[in-house]
Amino acid sequence: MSEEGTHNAPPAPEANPEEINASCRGPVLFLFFSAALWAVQATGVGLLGSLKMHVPGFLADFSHLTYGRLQANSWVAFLYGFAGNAGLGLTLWMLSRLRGMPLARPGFVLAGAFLWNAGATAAMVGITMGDQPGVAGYELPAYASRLLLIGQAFIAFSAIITYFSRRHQQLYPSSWFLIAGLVAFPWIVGTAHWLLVETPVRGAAQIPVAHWAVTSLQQIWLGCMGLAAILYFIPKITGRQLYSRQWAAFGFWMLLILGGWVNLNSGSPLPVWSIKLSQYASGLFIFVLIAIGWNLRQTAKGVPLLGSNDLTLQCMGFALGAWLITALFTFGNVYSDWNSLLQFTYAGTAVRQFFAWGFFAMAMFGAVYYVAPRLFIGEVDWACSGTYKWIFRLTAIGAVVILLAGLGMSYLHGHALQAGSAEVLKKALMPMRIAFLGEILFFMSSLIFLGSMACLLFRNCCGEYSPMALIRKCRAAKAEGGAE
Amino acid sequence: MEEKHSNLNLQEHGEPAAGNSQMPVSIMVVLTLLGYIGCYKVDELNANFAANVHAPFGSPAEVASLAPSEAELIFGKGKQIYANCQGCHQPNGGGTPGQIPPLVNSSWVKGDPKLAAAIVLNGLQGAIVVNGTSYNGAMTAVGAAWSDEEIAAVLTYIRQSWGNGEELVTAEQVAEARTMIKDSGHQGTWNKDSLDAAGFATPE
Amino acid sequence: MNKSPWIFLGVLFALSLSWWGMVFGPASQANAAKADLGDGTSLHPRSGLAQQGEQIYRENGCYYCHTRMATGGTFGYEIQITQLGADKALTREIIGEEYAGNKIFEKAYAFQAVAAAQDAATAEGADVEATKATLEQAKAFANSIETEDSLIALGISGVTIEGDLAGELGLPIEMSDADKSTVADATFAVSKGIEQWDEIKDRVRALKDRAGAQFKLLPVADDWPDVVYWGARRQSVTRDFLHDVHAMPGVMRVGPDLSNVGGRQLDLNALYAKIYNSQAGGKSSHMPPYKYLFNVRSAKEGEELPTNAVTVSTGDGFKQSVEPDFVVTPTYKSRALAAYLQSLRNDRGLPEAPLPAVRKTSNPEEGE
Repeated sequence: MSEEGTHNAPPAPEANPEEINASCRGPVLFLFFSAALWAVQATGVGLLGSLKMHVPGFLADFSHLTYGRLQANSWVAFLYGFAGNAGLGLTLWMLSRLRGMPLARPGFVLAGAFLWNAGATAAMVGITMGDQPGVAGYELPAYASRLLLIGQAFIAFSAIITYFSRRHQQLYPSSWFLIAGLVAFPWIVGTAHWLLVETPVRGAAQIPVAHWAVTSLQQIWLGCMGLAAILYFIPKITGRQLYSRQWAAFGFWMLLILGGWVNLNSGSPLPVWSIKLSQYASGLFIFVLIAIGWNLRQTAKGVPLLGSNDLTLQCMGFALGAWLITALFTFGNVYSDWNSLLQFTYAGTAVRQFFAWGFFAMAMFGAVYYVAPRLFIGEVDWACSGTYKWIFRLTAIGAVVILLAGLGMSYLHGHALQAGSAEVLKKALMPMRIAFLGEILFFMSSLIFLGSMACLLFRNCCGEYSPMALIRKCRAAKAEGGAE
Repeated sequence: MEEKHSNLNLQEHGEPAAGNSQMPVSIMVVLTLLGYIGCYKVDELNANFAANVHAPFGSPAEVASLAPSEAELIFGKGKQIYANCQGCHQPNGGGTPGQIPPLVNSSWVKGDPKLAAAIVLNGLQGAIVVNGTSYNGAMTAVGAAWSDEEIAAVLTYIRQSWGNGEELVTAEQVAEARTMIKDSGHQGTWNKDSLDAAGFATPE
Repeated sequence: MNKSPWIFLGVLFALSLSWWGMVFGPASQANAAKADLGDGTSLHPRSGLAQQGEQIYRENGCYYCHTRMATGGTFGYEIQITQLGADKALTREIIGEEYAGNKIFEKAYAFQAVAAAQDAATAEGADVEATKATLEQAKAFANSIETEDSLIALGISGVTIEGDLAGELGLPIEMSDADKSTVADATFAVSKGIEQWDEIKDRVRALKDRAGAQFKLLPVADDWPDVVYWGARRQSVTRDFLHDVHAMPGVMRVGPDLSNVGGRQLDLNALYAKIYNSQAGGKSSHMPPYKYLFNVRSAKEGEELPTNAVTVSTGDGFKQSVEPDFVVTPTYKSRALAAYLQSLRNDRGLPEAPLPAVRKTSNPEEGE
């Protein structure tokens, strides 16, 4: 098929992987390291907020640290800080590798990355000062979304130049997802920025806009970046072919079409038709689930993903499972009884956290584990690859705890809400209290992630004077001393 | 994939490629069918995409059947307008003993609505007898600037409240009263005699 | 798929589908919603202070724990007979022995019989002896049915019994206003719990067309938790958010739903005390205190609390400061927040969302 599109110009020669890795080094590592910092920030702030569910009086005298503000801060730090940085970094690297061309215009990426992080920081400061648009899931003040949009445009510019730098090659499905992620972000955030913050539409009209923006950010933006990683790394590491391009295309287009429609709660104060339409879209989401699930199952047939001794493959396996489970919950919203039971409980947040950490963060952790060391030339390695395994373990346990506890307890909460039970408050708090455990695990894995990134950077940037090398020297010296 | 746990294997496979396996036709048929059933359901449940149908209602007709009737709307509107009257006639329609006649069970109110409409339009002064009590006050032409619909609404409210239990008043009846006033050539505030002369039969 | 630019166009097109459906469509519909209610009244924007309060609500992220949207439930109906028809046997057959066995039902028909006998006795050219005997018999029968609700029975019988005859039947000879309204408003429920339209439609038709009874159908909140338990008066609809600068329907109910908080919580001081410290006065709550929204200063020796001080009542009816030994007064921010909360109410029906009745049913089902 690719031959049909042949132009007069001869195809550019494919660059070798080392060259591509070298071209990505600065910008991508900057993005990855920022992501690690933000992950700690997101989980740390989230923990502070959740503590209030145990001790209501905790930090109650500080207007900047209300539960609402901490909660908003935590999600913004995750979404734009961690997910944005890691996802964009991975997008650049994967697009370069898939195109076989070095990253074009790395200067733009660095500039964009600075702007992007400035935007995320501005959002954090703004929310702390009380400047948020009042939408749970889209908490960006106007100035922050402007910075993020400009920063993303710079990065996307580089990505797109790289993408078009060599045309005569069949596109691997991951690159569709990556391109979609690059296009979807300005579309979604631009719409929300314009209609909710910059020139807000009438109050009644904000509800559907906000729902669309929040759902699309999660399902389409995060979904595309995460699935791109999974679709890339599972075949890459197992050394197999992706089972079917056609299945992938089907899943891809259905995800883009349905991603913004799904998950509207049946109790939303909106006309019946939009709720029914959303239910229909949630029902059709089973197509996406089948397409992605079947394709990867056929690809990885006979390979125990979770039991593999390759950490990246383990992470991707868990991320895939988590994505499938959240897709199943999306499909579950086709049953309005189920949805109306859980709509005001912690269940929605539990599934969102599971999606964020079990699927997206897990895919990113796996990808960074693979990519980051390769960005250095020569014999390099994670300084402490044994500890990196704990990122996987802690995140996985945390995600499962949040999902199970969140859902089980939310089920009871939902029943209490429907039966008018006097114990409704107690039941509302139970899932959040148990999910607190999961959040502690996320915090720990983020700390390890940050530590590992720092070790990697120090070791490779400072050579024999890096802290790790010094520690090793000390140890060696001690061992010698002990032997004497 | 033989790597030691502490030493990353930097050897890697080439970039992945996608296979050409086709989606089975049977699955496509099933998916299409499912999609069609969904479309059918949406078509059935979309409530004509009406903006005013919210759960638990399912159709514009259902909403319309539970919405207040025309008569209730007129009554409600009249209640709002009565705010202009209750300063004198009181919220309970009882009037002020010796000064303002009551509206409750008053034959002036319960009789021909055209009489009441004429009084609201032009006001009334001089001696009258209501429910066996004489009054000698003055009512301004409160409704001079009101539309027929507004006068009909407030009269409907008065005639259906506090146990009065009369028929509602239509805008046409008010318009008739206007015509009768015009025909009679009368201008300014009424008194009992001029009302009788203009054809509005006042009760004794 | 391998033609690079087409991916961009395809992605834009696919994204635009949900954009039209979920953003443009509903938003432009909501944008066209009118503030006019159609009954001469309209939905008004909030007052300036309450509008400021919306900002306080938003800044502090109150919408993370509180929703302000009530969901819809189902309407059920209760059949209430206001006047029985003339045919006792037919009515008995339609409503069933369960309700016909009720003493009120028997007594009402006994009153009808008395009234008929009375009419016959006073009619011209009546057989005095025979009618008198019938009347006595009817009276005796009526008196043999003992019920405390004889006024209700009289009301639903549709007949008028006055004077000495009333006295003989154990009814008040001179009715008080309360008695009169009992008679006028008398109803007799002939449905079990709350029933759906499909369950009752046959009975309703038979009562109306065949038995000639008069009745009303009472729409009641049936399977409707938000209305029955959580203080909302109806479902929230698009127009409830018409005048919001930032619509915050909320996501989770860690705290109570606030769609009708203004209708429930009219005591401003109680609202302040709740915001200041919801555990004050020993109440069980997990809402964090928002003390920084108030002015707090220590009380002077023997100082009486100023009138605007936030207080809680102690068990024995006295009021004390919400923070003992301190004087707590609301700041502009807390006054605005309270004004906003008080503006949140849905206890007024809209044409698209009428208020259902909320009350105990006349014949509760088992376990209700």
